[in-house]
Amino acid sequence: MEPVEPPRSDENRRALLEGVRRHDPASLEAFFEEHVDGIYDLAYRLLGEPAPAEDAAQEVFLRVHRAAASLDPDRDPGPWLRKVTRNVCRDVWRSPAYRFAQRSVPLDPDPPQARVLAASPENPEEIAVTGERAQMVQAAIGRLPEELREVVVLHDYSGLRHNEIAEIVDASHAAVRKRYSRAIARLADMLKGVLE
Amino acid sequence: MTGNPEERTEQEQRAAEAVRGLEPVRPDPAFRKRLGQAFASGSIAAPAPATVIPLRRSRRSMWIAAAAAVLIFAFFLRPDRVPPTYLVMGGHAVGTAVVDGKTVPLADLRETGVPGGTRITVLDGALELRWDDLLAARVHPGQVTVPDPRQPGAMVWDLAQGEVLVQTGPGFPGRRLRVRTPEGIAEVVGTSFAVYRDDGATCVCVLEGQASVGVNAADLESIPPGRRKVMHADGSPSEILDIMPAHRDGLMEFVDRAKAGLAR
Repeated sequence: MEPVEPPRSDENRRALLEGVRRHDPASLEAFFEEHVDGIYDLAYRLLGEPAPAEDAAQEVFLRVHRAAASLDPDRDPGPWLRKVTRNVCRDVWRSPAYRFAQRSVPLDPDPPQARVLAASPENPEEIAVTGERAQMVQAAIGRLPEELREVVVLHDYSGLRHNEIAEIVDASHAAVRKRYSRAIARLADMLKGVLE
Repeated sequence: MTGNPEERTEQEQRAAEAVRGLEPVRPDPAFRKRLGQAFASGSIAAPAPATVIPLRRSRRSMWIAAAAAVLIFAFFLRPDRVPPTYLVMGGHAVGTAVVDGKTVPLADLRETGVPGGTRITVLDGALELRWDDLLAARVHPGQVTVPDPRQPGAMVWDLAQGEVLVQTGPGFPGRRLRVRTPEGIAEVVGTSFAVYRDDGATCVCVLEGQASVGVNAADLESIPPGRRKVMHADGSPSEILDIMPAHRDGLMEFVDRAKAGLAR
């Protein structure tokens, strides 16, 4: 979850979070701009489809809005946002609707790769090959059980350390290490032949 | 086989690198803009419910749903709140409806509009609604809950009974719209369609563009213009047929009117 804008100074961040606590519209807008892409990106990697990722991002910002008054202006909200995003995705995974949809066809008639190709006329062949591989990697991530998927996404995609992941998923450091080992072994097995 | 890179196999190392090499995925700009506005203005609400519909609801969940609907309605009717509303088109606001338990002439709704989230039972006549340049809809006798288009995510119309005709407008691209009935769902990627529901079946007619239609997410199939899909409550197989000419003429009359209204 990398912010789009350069990191804020502590003072700026404090002022922004104070504004968010007061539900000041300008502060809420700035906060949204700083975090929305990262939240959506993480939700997409955990859920694997644009539509549930949009719904998850919406739910995350709803929870942020409700909890804004309790934000600590002296702390980076990034870890908390990741935790909320993961919790929302976990709720989605547990929902009967999501489980049902996993056994069905996607609703999106225009998959992300088609949009990338349409928007990038130069080197379409290279983009297609890279994109196809990325889709296979994403599909393999999506076939991992949820508790393994979240660990591999948070570690290798979001770049978090195991102790940081342990905080997010409410597990011990040792448990996260074990899950990661199982996750990466299964992923490697699924991607055999794709990455050679 | 461990988190330590030095102890991973070559294949595991490659897999980890492949995950690290994935490009960030950005949200759809239209969705991003709508969500940002809703968050900053404080009008953000929970996402629309998921698309899978239980065919049989328990009595308890029916009561919970009814209570939720009453609460939503009460929220929208708070005196200190002036809700954004669907505009009720004059020419077709003839007949009567039940709104919030009260029977009202449809013409009276021209004054107040119809807030998103309202459940309306049209008893007779037809109610024609428009939301800015986003969409127009006509509700024939039956019961429908209209969505609030200000909310990001899919707009979900719940059609319990009757018929709803929908025409999307110039402001629609980038949005998702679904109509749900007890028998099925229609997800629209096109522009004009009608959904009819009675006790025995749901029929989705596609006039322009395309709609994905099915009894559930696994059954969705693309229906081209001029065709309709009929889904039966008794579980018998769905059918895809041509739209009947007489019905098509009636639908096209609505489409022409709606397009003219949306283009203004």
